[in-house]
This record gives sequence, structure tokens and C-alpha cells, in this order.
Amino acid sequence: MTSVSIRTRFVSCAALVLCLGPVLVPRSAGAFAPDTTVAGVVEQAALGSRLHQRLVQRLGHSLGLFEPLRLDLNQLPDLSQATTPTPSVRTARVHALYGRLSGLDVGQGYAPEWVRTESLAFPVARQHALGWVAAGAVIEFSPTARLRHHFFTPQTGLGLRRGTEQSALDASIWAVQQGVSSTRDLLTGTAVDGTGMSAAEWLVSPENDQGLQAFLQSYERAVLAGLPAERQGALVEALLSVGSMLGTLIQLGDPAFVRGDLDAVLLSDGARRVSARFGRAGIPPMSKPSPAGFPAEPASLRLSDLISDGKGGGLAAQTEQICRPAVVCYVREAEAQIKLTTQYARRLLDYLFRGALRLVYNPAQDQLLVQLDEWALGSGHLTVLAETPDGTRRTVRIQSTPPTLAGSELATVALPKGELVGVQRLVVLYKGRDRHGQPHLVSSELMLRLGQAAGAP
Amino acid sequence: MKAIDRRRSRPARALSLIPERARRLVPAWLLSSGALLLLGCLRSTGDLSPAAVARAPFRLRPDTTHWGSLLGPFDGQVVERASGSPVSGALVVGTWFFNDGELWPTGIGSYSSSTTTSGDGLYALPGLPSRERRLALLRRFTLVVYKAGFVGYRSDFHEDDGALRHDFAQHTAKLPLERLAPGESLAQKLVFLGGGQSVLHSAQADLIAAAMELAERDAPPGAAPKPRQPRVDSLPAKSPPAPSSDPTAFAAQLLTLSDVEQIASVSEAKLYRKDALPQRSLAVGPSASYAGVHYRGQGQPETADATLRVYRFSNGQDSQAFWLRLRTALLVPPIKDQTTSLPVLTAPVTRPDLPLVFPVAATPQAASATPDPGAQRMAQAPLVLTETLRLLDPNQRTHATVAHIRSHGLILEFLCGGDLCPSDRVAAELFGRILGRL
Repeated sequence: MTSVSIRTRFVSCAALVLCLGPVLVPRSAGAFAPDTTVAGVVEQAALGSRLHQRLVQRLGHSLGLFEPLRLDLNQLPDLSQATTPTPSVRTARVHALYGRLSGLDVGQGYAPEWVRTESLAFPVARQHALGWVAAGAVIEFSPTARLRHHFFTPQTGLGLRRGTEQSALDASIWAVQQGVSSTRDLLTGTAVDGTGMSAAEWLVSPENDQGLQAFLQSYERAVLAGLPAERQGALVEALLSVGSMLGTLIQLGDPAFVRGDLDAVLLSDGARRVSARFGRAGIPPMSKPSPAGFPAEPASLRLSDLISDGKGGGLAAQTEQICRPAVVCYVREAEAQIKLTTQYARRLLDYLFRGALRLVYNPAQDQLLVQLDEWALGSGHLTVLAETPDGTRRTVRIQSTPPTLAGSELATVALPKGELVGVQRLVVLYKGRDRHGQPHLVSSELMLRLGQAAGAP
Repeated sequence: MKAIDRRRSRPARALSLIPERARRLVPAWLLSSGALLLLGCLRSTGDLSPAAVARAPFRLRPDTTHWGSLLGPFDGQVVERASGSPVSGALVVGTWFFNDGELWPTGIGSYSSSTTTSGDGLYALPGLPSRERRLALLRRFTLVVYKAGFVGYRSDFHEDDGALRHDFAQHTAKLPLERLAPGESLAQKLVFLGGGQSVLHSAQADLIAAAMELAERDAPPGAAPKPRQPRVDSLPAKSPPAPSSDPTAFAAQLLTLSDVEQIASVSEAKLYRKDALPQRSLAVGPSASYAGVHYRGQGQPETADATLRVYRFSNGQDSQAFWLRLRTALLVPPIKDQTTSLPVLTAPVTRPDLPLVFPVAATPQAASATPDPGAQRMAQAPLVLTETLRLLDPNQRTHATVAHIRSHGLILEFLCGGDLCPSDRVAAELFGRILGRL
């Protein structure tokens, strides 16, 4: 066969797939449905976690999970790693995020409210913190091609792999047929070709715009940004990233995702039964304490341990062991499997927001004492910010900190009263690594007393 | 992943149906462009490509086996589950959700419409407007009913056991609302209900109460929510409120250890210990909950201590009754020499950014709704201290500030020793922080 005829067949196939695809495709499948099962698990995990407490103590949002937060897409920063940010990259990101968020179901409670202003290109989105986390979990599956990175095979540690008898083109055409990729993806060579990163890699990958790195960047901005609106927007981005990571983890409670079987994910109706049975609102609340180790610090924990720790622990490893055959986890043991998945989702939330700092300011000695209440830290550095009554923050100190055990003093920062004139609040951000070498951010706030704010003795 | 047999590939098979001669004559680019053009026409012309509608999971009426339509309209009556009496002024929100109908569906968007029930508990939601129909699959319709003091209703799932609901109907549906029992998790109710911003705007007071509930729970490992009970048709017997895992948690959330240590550390750093504080000997009734915290200065006299008692009642009437008893107990015997009663404390109790109160009909989704006067009144009212009492005991040098927030059924009693609060200003500042966290 000549190359011309191959190309002819390829283009014709693409056109036919485009036209006939919707007719040929059966309408009956899906793994844990993102807009119902996954969102429900995320909500129950968040209610059972310490996220509410962290939002109150670390970020001063007194309503915690129910704190209304705004995201102004017009102010979204460019997070690309390029040295010279290009407006087109930022615009594409804003458009993509707007499209993904505006497709959410209002009736499920996680779709943001859009507040339109004529002077702004994009409306401002408003939603409470819990809703943002659930929204992040749902948009993790949009565009659908992200699905390829949600697999993890505990025995090999690998993600989605193509069979040896199947070519990349076959897999791509099939992906277009099943609605996982678009014809545009096929023509541009970006369609799902039957391979993908493992879920553990995807969570920390720089390619994941809502993974761990994006979370850390956004959280840092949510503390360090000068203006309240910037900080609020950054916190929303951080919560969306948290939701996306939860969405990736929760899919590993579905047996199809721990066996590298894209066919089963797309063509089996097992998880559809789970969605029909529980929906979002019917996901059972957590009834048991989290697995041992939380909130106390375990001997060793990495993010990937929540997926598989190599000793039979981790959600993917447990799903693989329990769900034999897979159908039991969709029918008879569905509730138990969902509860197990919720427990792991809660562990991930507690992991991402681990650690607590306590601040005491001693004006007589002009010192700010930073006490580490939870979770041992490795070395890092501490940024101290001063916030004025209008919410504007400025950095007043940056100093490095040594490795510190929980319950010990992390740092003593010299802060003369003269520097605190007109300051209402002191904010501290620790950025570094925990004792296990994992990237870690912890923050805390301290409201100064009236006399100190005015600079009075 | 299973291998895909090339010979069975659907596009290849479809391509083979086109005669070889025709394939040679018609250039590939022309074939694909024509297909794209045709699809574009179909997509852009609503008349040629009517939007698909999934099968409704509910009946047309309760007394028929015919399926209803997701397109609507919808009507029915909201009644109280226990008595069967109609519930007026309940917010009814209907949401239509579209997706692309693919095997792995992606959301396209949704449209909401809302109304409130009449005096007879009746509601009528119009059908999906034609201008809101999308060229996508109408996947589901969800109806949510919210009224303060009730559990709430969803047309797809039961709240009590999370079971799939089969009793909803498009017309003449009877939607039972159950009263919220003391001790039930309000946060779980709100999360169950979903329903979008229309519901959240009307549920501002419940949102605050839910946040308080989560704060009370403190550390999660010991704080398991009440498990779902099997659904029964009659009103189940309600259990008394579950005791909090940490009796100080909610009070310690409002007045933190850092607050007290910060105020105390004027000349040197002082450390405090947090203890539980027993409630007063006044009976608070079964519907109330209590949290109290006592901060004791280590190595310091009692005049350096601070305490906070928080009483929460299920309604304003109960809190008013308790307020009167508490006020009497505080004023008699008359060991205090200064009393002040203020109608509204000028503390910064409202949030400066992103106000928590919204009128119900201010949203696009709710624009067509009949505004519920009760909900609007509640939503538009700021957080107001109904009554306050400020006292000074000169013998023990103790400042006391007591406040009643009737709209939330809350009573706060704050005591600050003279060494910790040398002046009214310091006591007022600490109390302002407590109120600010509400």
C-alpha cells in the first residue's frame, strides 16, 4: 500500500468517525462518574477531613468549608514555566478553565455562580470552598483525554499501556470513536494512543496544570500575594488543584483503573451502576476514623504511598486485592469500596494540609515566636508578612529555618514594634520540605492587639 | 488493555462500503471537507438537529406508569412529612443539565429556574425555555426544595439513607419535607441538598451554623457524623443531640489560645492552658448545646484568666427565654456596679468583602421566581446582636460581656480577668474578635 493511499484512508476514516461516531457508539458506560460519584466522595472526604479547620486557622476564613470565595478569571496569572510569559498561553488557560467550569451541573451544588460585569471580559466566579474542591474533582476529567493518566497497576507501578498487537493509530481512532479524544486531537496527533503516565506520576508531574506543583504555587500565592482579591483567587486555584488530585486518586477505587484496562473503563457498565445507585447525594458519610497515622505523623509517608506503598497499602493496591472479580466492587461491595475510597481521599486532604504553626508575639522583647505544633519539618525558609487593616500584605522578614521536630520552636523572628505601626495581622509562611523530603507549605496568622496595631506601648 | 482487531475497526469497515472507484475519483480532502461542512450545518441549525433528551427517571404523575419528560413543566405540593400540612414559602429550584452524550460524557452546562411555594404549599415550575435548549443531550433534571428548619428535598435521592428516590413525579407530586431534628448534621444536609447558589443565598444562616458545627467537631478522628438511619415512613423518634468530642472546641474556635496569650504578653511572654468550662446551673433545655472554654494563665492568679461560654438553641424563642434567665442570674445578687444594655453593638460583625447576605431574587437563576418574603427578610438582615450586657465586678476585677443573637439562637458569655483585661477597651477588643469569627 502506498503512502498516499494510507493518508487517504486515514483522512477518510477521520471524516467518517466524525460523522458516524455518535451513531455507532453505545451510550452506556463510564468509570466512577466524575459529576456524581467522584464529586460525592470528595464532599464526604472534605467534611471528614481537617480542611475546615485549616482554612480557619491558616487562612483566616472563619466559615471554613462554607466560606464563599471568588475567582476572577481576568486576573488569572500565567503559570507556564516559560521565562517570558506570553499572553496567548494565559488566554488559552483562562478560556479552558472558563469552559470547564461553566459546563458543571448547578443542581449538584458545585457549579460556581457567575457574576457578570460589563467592564470585565470574563465573569467572576463565586462558590464556597467545599464547592470549589468538588468542582476541581469534576473538571479533572475535562478534557476527557486526561483520563489516560488516571491508571495505576500496583504490580508494575505503570499507568495505561497499549497491547503489543495494537498500533498507536488504531488506539487513537478507537479513542475518537469512544469520545475520549476528538477528531482534532486525532489530526494533530494528540489523541489518546493507549498510553499514559501512571496516576502517581501524574499527580506530581509538571505537565499536570492541576497537580501538586500547581497546588503549591497557588497556595504560596494565597498567602504571599499583596491584595486580598489576589489571595482569594489563588486560594480558589489551590482548592481546584486539590479537587483534581482527589479526582485522580478516587478513580483508583474503581477496579478498572488498577488493571490498565481502558476497554473496561469505557465499555463496562459497572461503575454506571454505582453512579445510578449513589449519585452524588447518596454517597455515604464517613463513619469511621481515618486510618491510623492521621492526623498524627506516620513513620514515613509520601504522596505516592496513598496510591501504593509497595507493602499492600494504598488505594490502588487495596482495590486490586479486594475487587476480585471487579464486579463485586460495583455491586455487592460497592458501598464498602466507596467508603474505603473516601477514607483515602480524606487522607490525601489531610496530607496536603498537614502541619500547624503557632505564633506568639512578644512586644516587650520585639520578638515573634513561631512554634511548630504538628508534623516535623526539614530545612526551609520562613516568610513573615505584615497585613494592614485594608488587607494589603508586605513581606517584612525572610529567614531560613533548620529541621525541627513537632512541638519545638521553629524560629524566633526579631520584629521591632516600630515596624508594626498600622499592622493588624502577622502572617507566616513556611516553605521547604518535611522530614521525609516532600515539598511542604504551612502558614499561620496572628491578629495583633489593638494597641500594637496602633504602635502604642 | 485489550488489543483492538484492525479488521473489526468500524471506520475501516465503513470506508470499505464506499466503492473503490468512487474513492479514487473523489479526493480525500474533498470527502472530509464535505463531511465536516455537513456536520457543521447540522450542529449550527437547531431545526435540523433537535437536541436529544434522555429518558426521565420519574413518572408523569404519581398515579400513572407513563414516564415524565425532563423538559417539564413541573408542579406539585410541598408538605410537612409528619403532619401532611402544606409548607409555604419554601424555595423550589429546578435544574436542567446537559452533557455531550458521549460514552465518557462531558458537561455542557445547566440552566436553573426557581420559585417559592404558595400558602397551600403549591409550586409550579415552567418547562425548559426553548432559548435555553442546547445542541446536546439533556441528561437530567433535578428538583431541590429548601426551607429553613427543614431537612430539604431532592428529587433524585432520599436524604436519610441515600437511597434512590422513586416517588417524584412531573405533575401533582407531593414532596414531603422533614423538620430538622436537634443534633442532626446541618453541614451534611447542605451538602446533600446541593441546588446551587439560589439555595445557598437563602441558607446563609444555615451556612454559618454548619461552619460552627464543623468547628465544634474539632479533630476529625473522633468526630464521626451520625450514620444514616434506614428510612421509615413515619416520623422517627429523634435522639438527643450528640455530645461534641471536645466540649471546648467551638468556644475555643471563637476565642483562641493565641488571642489570650497575645493579649497577655505585654511585657513578657505568658503561657496559658486551655480547660473545659462547665455551664451555669441554669437549665438550658434538650434542644440546646453548650461549649465553654477556660484559659488559665500558668503561674498567674485567676485575674489573668479568660472564659467563654457559648449556648446554642434551635430557635430564637428558646434563646430569648434563656437570655432572660441568664440576665436575671447575672444581675441578682447585685454584686456589679455598672450595667449597660445596648440594642446593637457597634462591633465589626459584618464581613467587609463578599457579603454573606443576598436577596433571593437577585440572581439570574432566581430572577423569575416569586421572592419569598421570609427568606428575603432573613437574607437581608445583617448579623445583629439582639441584646448585650456589659458588667464589671470591682471586687474580683472581672469584665463580663454577654450577648444574645436571636436570629441564630446564640448566647455568648465572655469573662476577662482584670490582669488580662485592664480596661474595657481590651475586653471589647477580645469580644470583637469573637464576634468577627461568627
